[in-house]
Amino acid sequence: MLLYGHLYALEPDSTLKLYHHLLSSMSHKKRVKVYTENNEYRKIFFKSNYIKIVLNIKDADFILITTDTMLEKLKGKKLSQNTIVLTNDYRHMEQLDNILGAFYYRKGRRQFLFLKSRLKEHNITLPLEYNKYIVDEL
Amino acid sequence: MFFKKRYILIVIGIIQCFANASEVDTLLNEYNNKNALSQKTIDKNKGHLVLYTRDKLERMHAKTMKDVFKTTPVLYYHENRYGRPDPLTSGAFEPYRSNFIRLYIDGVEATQGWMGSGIVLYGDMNIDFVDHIEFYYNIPSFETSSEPAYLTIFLYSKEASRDSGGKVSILGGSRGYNAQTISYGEQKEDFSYMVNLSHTDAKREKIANGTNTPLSRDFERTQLFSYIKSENQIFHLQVMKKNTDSLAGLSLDATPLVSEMDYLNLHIDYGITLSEHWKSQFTYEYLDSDIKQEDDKPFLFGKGSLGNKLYIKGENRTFTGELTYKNKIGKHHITTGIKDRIKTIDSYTVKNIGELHIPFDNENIFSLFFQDQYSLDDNQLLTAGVEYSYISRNGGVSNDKLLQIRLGYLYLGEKWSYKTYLYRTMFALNSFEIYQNIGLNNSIDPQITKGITQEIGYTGESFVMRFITSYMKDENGLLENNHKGNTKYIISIFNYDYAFDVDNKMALQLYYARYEDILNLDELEDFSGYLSFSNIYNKWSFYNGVVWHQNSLNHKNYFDLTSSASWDINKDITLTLKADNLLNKAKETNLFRVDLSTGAMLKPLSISPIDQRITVEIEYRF
Repeated sequence: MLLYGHLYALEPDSTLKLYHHLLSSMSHKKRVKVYTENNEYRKIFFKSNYIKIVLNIKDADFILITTDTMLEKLKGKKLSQNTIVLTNDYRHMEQLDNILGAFYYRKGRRQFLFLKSRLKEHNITLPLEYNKYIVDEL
Repeated sequence: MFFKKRYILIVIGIIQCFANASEVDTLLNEYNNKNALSQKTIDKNKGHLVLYTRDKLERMHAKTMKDVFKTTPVLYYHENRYGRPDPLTSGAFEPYRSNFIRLYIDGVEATQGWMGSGIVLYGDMNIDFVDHIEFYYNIPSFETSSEPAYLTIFLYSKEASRDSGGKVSILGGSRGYNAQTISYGEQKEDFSYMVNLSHTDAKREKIANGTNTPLSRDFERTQLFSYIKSENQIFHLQVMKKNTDSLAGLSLDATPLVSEMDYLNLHIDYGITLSEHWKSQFTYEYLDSDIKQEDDKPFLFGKGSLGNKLYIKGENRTFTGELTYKNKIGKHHITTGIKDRIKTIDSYTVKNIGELHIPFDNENIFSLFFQDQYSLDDNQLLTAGVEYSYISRNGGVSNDKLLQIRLGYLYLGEKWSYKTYLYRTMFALNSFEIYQNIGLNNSIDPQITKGITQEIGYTGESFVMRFITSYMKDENGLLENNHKGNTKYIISIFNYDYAFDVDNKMALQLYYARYEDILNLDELEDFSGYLSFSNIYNKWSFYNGVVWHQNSLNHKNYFDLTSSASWDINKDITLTLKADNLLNKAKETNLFRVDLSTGAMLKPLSISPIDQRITVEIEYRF
């Protein structure tokens, strides 16, 4: 078999279910606005009635960082206190103070990581089932 | 009584713990299963699959192919009398037997060229660069194979988009065994790349042979794996330098004074998607081998003797080109293509004799294949494939024509699945053995294998269950029992994987095989089992796996227990303690010996390819 190009592609159903659960645990809004520059996530979120893709950072309830380039872009930006920033690389959390959590890939599995102090700053209380993913410090 | 109650309460507590998986854990488990890279590479029509996902490899702390291969059913890890990976070895004097097993990295076959299947070279390779491994049993889809095989092993490398950044690991263990790896991968806007370099200094258990010089199989290996790829092109560069103490080597009574086999292997391949329908791939492989053998008695070669010191240097090259066309026409999924593989032996020099100019130094394998997958409906398909190969050899050695046919039916429902294949395949004697025996016998008919296989599977909420059974028969068998009769194989495999929750998993595998007229045996029964538990608790992860083997030769039970405990010191640093073959009861095989003064067979040496070893490893991600 020949394999070329990018092998990795997200499975839409399980991805949507997980993000619905996560985002609804962090926001009480009936519909949330998400900004991301990742085309794969955009395509998947586009199918959702709960998530709305926005093209402007200012309009977003959630920002999802998926690349170092996007992280660098956000470093100089002043974000609203209500905007929740998430990333898919936990190392980004050390570089940008307003990232609340990561849904990162390590040892063959996606895992969550949330920083207690940053959740507190945003007055976010995650359901108890997320407790094991909340840490005091990075 | 008190203790009994306490144990019952503890067991109930553990079960409740597992049973009460939270909703987010259930979703996470589903996400991880459905987004494993393997889900993108598995071809349901490639054969009967035993899969090692990235999650499973990480939990097993599998560092080499051997760590994985020792747990597989049917064909499992063995080493031959030269200390080289050779799962089908008989323990006798053949160079290797595992040409029926083929190894692919990112869909491209890694061979050792003239010497045959790459399994002999790569069968215990460092797998730090690997994301997941697929073992396909019985005859593979013709789309994948250049030469016939019973078992095809597909290793897929990590994706830079998911595994970006670097990793360094240092491992030390029993007897001074040590290994170091460093890797780095990055996803750029238009392309991605990964480089993985490893070095292993394997100090292994010595084998007593009744002399002051026990048999050694230590090796030192430096291995480079790298790729660069874009949307429609991929380029791989692999280099392996392996200096090996070659156990008994060519010494017929297994008492060598010097036994070394060193290799330098280079593999380069390039693949391109030319259009929606056309793809092409080119591979170049080079192998330099350096063999040093000394014994107190002369080495025999054919009917002659080569003295008691033998230094051989050899070089060989392989070129492979493929062009594949795929199209969907109505309900037909058609794949067709041509492949050509040219193997050359460039030099073969024996010290004190000089370069051997044997006229047979070129083998060309040209193949043409056609495969159709016809969809009966959304869940069912029929498949039919045919491949014709023409093997031409120079130097007056006879040519071979191989015709392979494969018919199948697949049902893939949401929970239930079923597959059945009917096939006829042909195997030719490999070029190296023909080369070694030139003048003695250069016209051995290809082996014909006919068989039928069936697989039934069921996927539940938290488990996957599967049963595979197959029947095969060889005609003109290369492994048959002194031409007594056709070799027959009946094989059954049962798998049951259970996830207690996202962190706690169990896997069970049972295997039974019955062979008739194989090697020098009239009948052989083989049993094996593999049971593993992997548990993650906060920053700790634990793995315990036991492989059990028994066969009808002596009905002796062998147990290979592997245990490991891993501690994530922080997100970037992990410390792992691992024990291989903890009970020191792993499967052993015979290495046969001949008393050269009488010609009588000596008592064989019983050797396990799995060393008892404790290792400590530290990994740092950056």
